[in-house]
Amino acid sequence: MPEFVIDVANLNIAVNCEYDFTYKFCRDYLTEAEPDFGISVSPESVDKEIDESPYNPSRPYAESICVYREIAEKLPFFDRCVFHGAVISYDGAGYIFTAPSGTGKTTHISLWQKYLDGVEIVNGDKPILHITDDSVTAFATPYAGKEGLQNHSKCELKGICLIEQAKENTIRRLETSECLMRIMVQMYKPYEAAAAVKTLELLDRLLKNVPVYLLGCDISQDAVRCSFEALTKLDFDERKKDSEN
Amino acid sequence: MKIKDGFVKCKIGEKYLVVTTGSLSAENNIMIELNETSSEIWELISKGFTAEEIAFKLADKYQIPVEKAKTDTDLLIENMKKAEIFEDE
Repeated sequence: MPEFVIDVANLNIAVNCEYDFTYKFCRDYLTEAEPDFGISVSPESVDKEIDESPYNPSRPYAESICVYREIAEKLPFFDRCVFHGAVISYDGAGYIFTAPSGTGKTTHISLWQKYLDGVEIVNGDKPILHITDDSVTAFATPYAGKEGLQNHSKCELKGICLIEQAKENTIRRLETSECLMRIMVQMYKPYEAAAAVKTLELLDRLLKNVPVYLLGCDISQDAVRCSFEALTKLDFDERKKDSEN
Repeated sequence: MKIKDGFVKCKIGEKYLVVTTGSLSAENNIMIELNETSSEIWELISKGFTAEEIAFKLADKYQIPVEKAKTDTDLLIENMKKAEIFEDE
């Protein structure tokens, strides 16, 4: 497979790998531009990915995971990181919903779409965040979860919402000291020490710029009201769709 | 007592976060949160000071009894041992 370049999170990245699976997987992101940096994946990395996976992936699929990992290793030097969470945009602002897999991120954002117009799913699983001193931008990537939900766009991040399943719908703002570990586990942690230090610095900047909330919720309309009003500061009843689907 | 290679520490807000990197992550992938004093003790340990020396430094800096500083230092070191942060010696 010849080298190809992808435009992800406003960076042009040259990819060297064996199979064409990743090339096809990244078809919405291909570019002719000169690369900012390049990555390559060795057969040994693919072997290791397969050995360590509980899912017995094919070699091409395993290689695509290795490609994103190699990219994620380098991103901190460009003030960016891979973040595990679902990003939606509403009224021009971006919000991330994050939780351990299976907790209900995708369910919750689909409820936002059910009850509100104008909700765009920017990335359903592993967006890239560009974290500067005074703003955070969330970017869609080809790595968008099993539903493949992404729209190749970006948004300015205005809130992060940790989700827990609960009997009642409640939400509260968390202080940095309450959530630094819970947010860190959702950020890609590089193998290389220098990149890991950069990632921690990005975490510090992220928490200075973006409020974090803890949402306990069920799967009702009230769950959307709860997170919507806390994150956007808008009135849910004024914004919700007139009739339910 | 020597802290294993592969830990990195960074200030996040008012606290410090320590994470493992490199091959240490495969062996012992942990994340630790430290407050200001614990972070200072961690730094002094990594510079090679003994528990007694650290206790005297803290007592002097914060104008607290040496016994209290020693108790705090010993407690952190005990927790660090349980978390397998030190190399076997």
